[in-house]
Amino acid sequence: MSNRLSFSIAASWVLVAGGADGAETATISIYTTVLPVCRFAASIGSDATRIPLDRAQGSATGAVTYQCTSGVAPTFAITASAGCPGCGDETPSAPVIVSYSHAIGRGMGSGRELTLVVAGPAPTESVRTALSNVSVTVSP
Amino acid sequence: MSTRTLKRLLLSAAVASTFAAGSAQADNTSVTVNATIIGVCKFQVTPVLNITNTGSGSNIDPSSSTTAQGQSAVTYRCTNGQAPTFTVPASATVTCTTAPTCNTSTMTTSSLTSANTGAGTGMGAGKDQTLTVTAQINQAGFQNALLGSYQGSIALTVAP
Repeated sequence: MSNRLSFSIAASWVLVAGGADGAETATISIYTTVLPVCRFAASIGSDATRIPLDRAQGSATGAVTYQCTSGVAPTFAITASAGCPGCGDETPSAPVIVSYSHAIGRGMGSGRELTLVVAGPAPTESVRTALSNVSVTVSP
Repeated sequence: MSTRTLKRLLLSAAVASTFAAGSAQADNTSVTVNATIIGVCKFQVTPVLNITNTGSGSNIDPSSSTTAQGQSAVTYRCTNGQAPTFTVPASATVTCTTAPTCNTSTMTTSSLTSANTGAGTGMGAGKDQTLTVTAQINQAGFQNALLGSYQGSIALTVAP
């Protein structure tokens, strides 16, 4: 018997032995989906917050940090600002969103915060007093 | 040969034949029958494993601190009395399947454990036992993950 034939027989025996060890294999498929969400960092888990305004001469500004799922663009909306019943014709214009880092979300972990800045005109003391804060929502 | 002699011969032959017939009567012997029930285990059903921290489908809310978890109840049957030996990997990795959003990013389970209901009770219908596989991805594992859907697999073996 040649060496090659002997080797072939030995290899065949090993394969049969390996397949006859009784072990059976199965595969479980795993699925998961990371959702698109944005949240204000100052109020964990919330998609709404109230931004206190810094009322300097002529304007009121405020900022808040937020986080979004990596890859998700935020959409903000100002839902309310303090009224000014005594302001008469000086009723302040609603603050507007000045900037939000123009960024796509970078994740929810520490150090991944982005900044939203709002501002509104506050030409008089009465308006500045009224514009103490602004409520904002973020989605998704 | 005389008639008398012939009759004697025939009688002798008949007697001999009778003894011969007696020697062909039923004999007894035993055949040994051997059979061995071997120990085997087989998987029956391997359901998918959805990992979630929202309680809905396979969704992970990355803003949540709740660990995402999923279970798969894999059924198996073994020879009656045969204890199974399972091989379950220590971890599993899921890879993005929605390329436009998460490209080729991955997440790895923070924990992958299993528990089973024990030795087989037979291979017949209704004799299923259960291997429960539990996978978790903790907050550190998903909080910065890219938006999108992920998929992976866990290879299990059972012996004998």
